[in-house]
Amino acid sequence: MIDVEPLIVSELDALLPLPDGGRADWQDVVRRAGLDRRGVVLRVRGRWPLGRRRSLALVLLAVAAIVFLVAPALGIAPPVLDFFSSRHAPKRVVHQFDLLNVGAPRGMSPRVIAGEARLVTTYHRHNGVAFPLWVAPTRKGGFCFVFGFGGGCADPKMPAHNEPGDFNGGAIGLGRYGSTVLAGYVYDKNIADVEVRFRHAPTVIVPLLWVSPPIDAGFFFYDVTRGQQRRGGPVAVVALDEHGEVLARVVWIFRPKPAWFDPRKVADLSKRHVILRSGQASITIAPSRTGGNCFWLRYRYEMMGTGCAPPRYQAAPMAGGLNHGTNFTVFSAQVKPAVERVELRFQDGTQIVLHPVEGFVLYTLPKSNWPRGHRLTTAVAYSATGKQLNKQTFDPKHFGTYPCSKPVPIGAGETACP
Amino acid sequence: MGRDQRIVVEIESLYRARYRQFLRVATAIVGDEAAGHDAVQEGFALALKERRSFRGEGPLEGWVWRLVFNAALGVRRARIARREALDSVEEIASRNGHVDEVGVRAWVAALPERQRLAVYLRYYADLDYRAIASALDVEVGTVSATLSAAHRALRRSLEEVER
Repeated sequence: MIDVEPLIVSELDALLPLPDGGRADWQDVVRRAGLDRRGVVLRVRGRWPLGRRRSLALVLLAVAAIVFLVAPALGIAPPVLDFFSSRHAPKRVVHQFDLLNVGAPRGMSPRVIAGEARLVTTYHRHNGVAFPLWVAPTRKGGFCFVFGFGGGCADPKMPAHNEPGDFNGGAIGLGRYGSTVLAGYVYDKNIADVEVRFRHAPTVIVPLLWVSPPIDAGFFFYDVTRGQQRRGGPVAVVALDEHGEVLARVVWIFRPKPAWFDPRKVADLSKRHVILRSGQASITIAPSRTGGNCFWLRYRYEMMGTGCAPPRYQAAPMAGGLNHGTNFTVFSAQVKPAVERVELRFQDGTQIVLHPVEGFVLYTLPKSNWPRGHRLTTAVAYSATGKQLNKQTFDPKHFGTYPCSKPVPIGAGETACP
Repeated sequence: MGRDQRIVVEIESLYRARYRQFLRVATAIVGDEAAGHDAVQEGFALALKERRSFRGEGPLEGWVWRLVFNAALGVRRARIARREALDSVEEIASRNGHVDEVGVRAWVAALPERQRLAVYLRYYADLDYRAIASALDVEVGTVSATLSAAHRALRRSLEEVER
């Protein structure tokens, strides 16, 4: 049987390639709809001669239409959605916002006002799938959002963070959802447009939906088409002012991950071997073709971490932390060759000394270290001469790090081990 | 911003994001890009004018696709009525039974209207079955059957040529 689909695709593509968007003219659509640039309904204007009072009423109606209804959508001013007139979120969504508060590490709760969560808009992917955007203000003056299968929080008071290659990248809160959806927000009112730029496809202008205080941010959404994916996909999201000047540009999110990022690509698996075991935890390593070793940290059969960063990327003499599951807590770290030993200090004054094996240390904390008063507080790396090279501290009061027999409620209907 | 204004914003957002796909499908229906552009503009203008009639029972995009189709089909019918010379795939369709060009494009043009629209939406607009169903105002199963029928017809034509 002949598979006709590839033939259809190629023939139709040849017959009518995807046209460029040069003809696109939204203002023409608006005019054809009977709405002029100033937002006056032409049909209403035509009725003015009917009588002075009636004309006046119609003029007032038209003005009201400009102010409240039509003008923002016509680009006269940025469309601003009145947050408090938007629909309240249902209980299940409010619960998702509650989880943002209780799920955050101690001292890092976004303090979102979950009960004020509202539906800002519903975006649609080009396959018809709906992406409702729920937003709630925080007590810190920012906002949190739940969107598709993701979510997050923004705080305008936090200093903007720039990744290498970006220009004022912190001005654009950008997320990728699945393989094609780009969505995010901006705060700067000077930003008039957000563009998505592609490797080999025309640039697309994405409309901004501004939301009134307390949110006070503009949101955008773009679903990259299969055609754009085939042409190399997006390479940048750019924010422009009304004169077309670039105010911010994000590129790092589109950069392919370096080869060393994926152990499957760079590890010499024929030389893979276990170097450390502690309880049921283990560390396996294999040489990486980009330098150094790839490692796999496991507890029984559960993978807890892996990586292949070349040694030059390890900035600190010791990089590690606590991993935990329902019935275990494990300390592990990667250390530089200068580290001769790592000392673990506990709340009850006890200490454990670990000696690195091929640049790694591993320790499964016994049950006696699970209760408060006995937990890990500090890990200190020393050189052979006894010089302290690095120190990491751990918060013993942090919920959920250690197993327990009686989890306690932490809000939003959730429980965690204290 | 009320529901009405939100719909206006969503329609504008759809236009800016998907204009090229709308233009491509409309051009395929109408026969040339200028007329296709006109159909897209008319379809979106109608969407703005009739936005209050959108009840939100399905995706907004599907509803707008229907309006653009109707605008494009209207343009095409008007042109045929005026007996304009069509130099497009639609011309070949109008001469069904006298196909003088062999190839998938001619066979697509000769498909019944719903099958042809489904093919355009699938391959020109990159829509999935659910979105096509919404645009054609039919069930998803009907889209599947319609596209299968189109594939069957195209496969038959191809096998006849290869025989």
